[in-house]
Amino acid sequence: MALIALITLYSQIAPNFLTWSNLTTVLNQSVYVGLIAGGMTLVILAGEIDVSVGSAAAFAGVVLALLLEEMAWPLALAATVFLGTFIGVVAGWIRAVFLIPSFIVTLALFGALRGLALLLTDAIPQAPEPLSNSFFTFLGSGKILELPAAVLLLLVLFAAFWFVSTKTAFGTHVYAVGGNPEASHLVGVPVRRVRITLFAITGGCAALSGIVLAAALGAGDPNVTQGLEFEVIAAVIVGGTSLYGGRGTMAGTVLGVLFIAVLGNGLVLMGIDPYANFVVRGLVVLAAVLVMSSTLRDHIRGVARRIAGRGRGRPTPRPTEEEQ
Amino acid sequence: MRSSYRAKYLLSAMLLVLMSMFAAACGDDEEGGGGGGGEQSAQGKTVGVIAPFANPFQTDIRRGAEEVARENGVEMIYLNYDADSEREFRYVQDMINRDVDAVIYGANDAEVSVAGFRRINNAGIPAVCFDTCVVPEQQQQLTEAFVTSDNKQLGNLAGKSAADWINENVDGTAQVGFVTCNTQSVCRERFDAQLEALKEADYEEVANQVAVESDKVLTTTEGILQGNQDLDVIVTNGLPQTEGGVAAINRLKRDTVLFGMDMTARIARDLLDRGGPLQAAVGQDGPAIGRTMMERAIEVLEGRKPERFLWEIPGTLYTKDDPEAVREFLATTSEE
Repeated sequence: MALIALITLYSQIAPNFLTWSNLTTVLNQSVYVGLIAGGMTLVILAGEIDVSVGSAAAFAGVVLALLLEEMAWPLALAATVFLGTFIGVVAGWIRAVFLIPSFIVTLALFGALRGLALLLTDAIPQAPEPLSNSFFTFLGSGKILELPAAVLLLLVLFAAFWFVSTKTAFGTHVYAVGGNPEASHLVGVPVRRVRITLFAITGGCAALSGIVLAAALGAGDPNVTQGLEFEVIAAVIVGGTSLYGGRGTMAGTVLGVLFIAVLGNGLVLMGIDPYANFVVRGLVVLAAVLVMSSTLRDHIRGVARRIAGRGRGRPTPRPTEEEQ
Repeated sequence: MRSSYRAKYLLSAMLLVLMSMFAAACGDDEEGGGGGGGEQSAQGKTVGVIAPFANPFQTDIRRGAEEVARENGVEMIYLNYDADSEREFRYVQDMINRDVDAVIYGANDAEVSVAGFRRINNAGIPAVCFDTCVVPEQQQQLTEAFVTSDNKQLGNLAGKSAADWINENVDGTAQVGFVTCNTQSVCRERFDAQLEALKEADYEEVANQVAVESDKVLTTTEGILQGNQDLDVIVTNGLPQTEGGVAAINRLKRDTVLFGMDMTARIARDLLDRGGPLQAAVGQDGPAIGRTMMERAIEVLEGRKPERFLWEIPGTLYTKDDPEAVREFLATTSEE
């Protein structure tokens, strides 16, 4: 609903918004957030959070650029994804074994990975020759059937996450852990293993996002993706996933990712003052979340019922237990 | 009995005060603070550097400063606050607590950072500012010297270069978009100079956006290009803006050209790309800024007053039309 309203509005007021070229640009821009958002949806569904993904993406871009100086690109690519996943495993293991809140564990990684990226590069973006080879150029800006290559990667990843979350035992376990971890443990759900796997997934996704961004920029830049974690979390929440876990869908997250990308694109097309841009973004995301809030919907329904009751000259009926 | 006890007590207290005064005086002599007038050695002293953010230009500054510090036997502590004012003030306090002998400090904002310099002053530590300083009326009260790029010259060189290109290549009014780092005062100074120089050309400003990191620059510039299909020129005033802007034009395969700021090996390679969008970039001399600021701090530590307050280090314009100069830069840059 919110996405359709936004697209309708922009098609009227934002120049060139509804052109094929711009729409593919929007899709391309949604990739960095989208590649992580699928994994983040699973993490949030399980009642966890990962705020390290922005730093992890920057770190992965830097690692890839440095490894490309030393080894063949397929090896460098695989090593970067492996390292990102391994860091996620470590974070998940600390969370699951020591029962430290995931916010704290990933907050520590948030600082450490950014610092490491700066330390490894002396803050200088690394642009090795292989990062301009045909594979990375294709990944960063190539197209298949007029669709950006990275978008196809994103679609494949979302399809995989949709399958995992709806058709596998692991997906059921994620929802169960998010709903009630203690009860899940008592009925035999391997809560510890589920948590470790989830952070491994976001670690790997963040590495993929960093790789695609490095391919688009032609460099591994330690200063990029600042605030990416909040865009990813906003996309997941706007997509209807409950921050308390146990409720949400992958399809909702796809719409949330598109919503965040479309919102930013339209504001730039309209030439909105750059400082006002931040305010508008924040307010629109808040409004979108409010529109989807069941509490707000119930409240509006209650107010409407009271007004209707008063109109008919009858006392406002008290909500039944079921309605409450 | 009682009076004798009181006398002993008073005598002890007086002795304690005298000893403290003597120790403080000795300490002052040892540290050479307070402007005693005589020339002292800076060897063994500590200089804290508080940098505004991390990027290749700041790294060049750091290397220049380290070189001079090493030559003079000075210990250098380096912190970067990533353009975050809260962290900036925390680092100022850390430097004071560390009891450094001098601070070299790049202000985040000319007005906001006054508080940071004031704290350093109140702690009796001399300060030199670099890259960005406090508001002009406070500069000479709070700092001993100001070492910076000649930002007006940098902006003027980039703006003039863009104006010349428009006059030679565009019939009628050119469409120009700006992607800037104007949240920082140093960028605003360059931007004003760019606008001034662009007055020599017939142009219309069709977009003006702030984007600070190169990934944000990439998406913002793509938006500007999509919203303005006939955009002729993009002008930027910082390194991520230049690098991200070039990446966006290349990705959308547009024939818009770009005039940028800062020189790195990557920007040099973009300039050498004959068909690429980057036409010119103005390079700052980071190592010279680093050397100059550390030399000023050492002068102050040695009890000498810098011969002047403002040290403006000129930049160099590199263009696509002069590939030899670009190749020379590539051969000498510390990145390669």
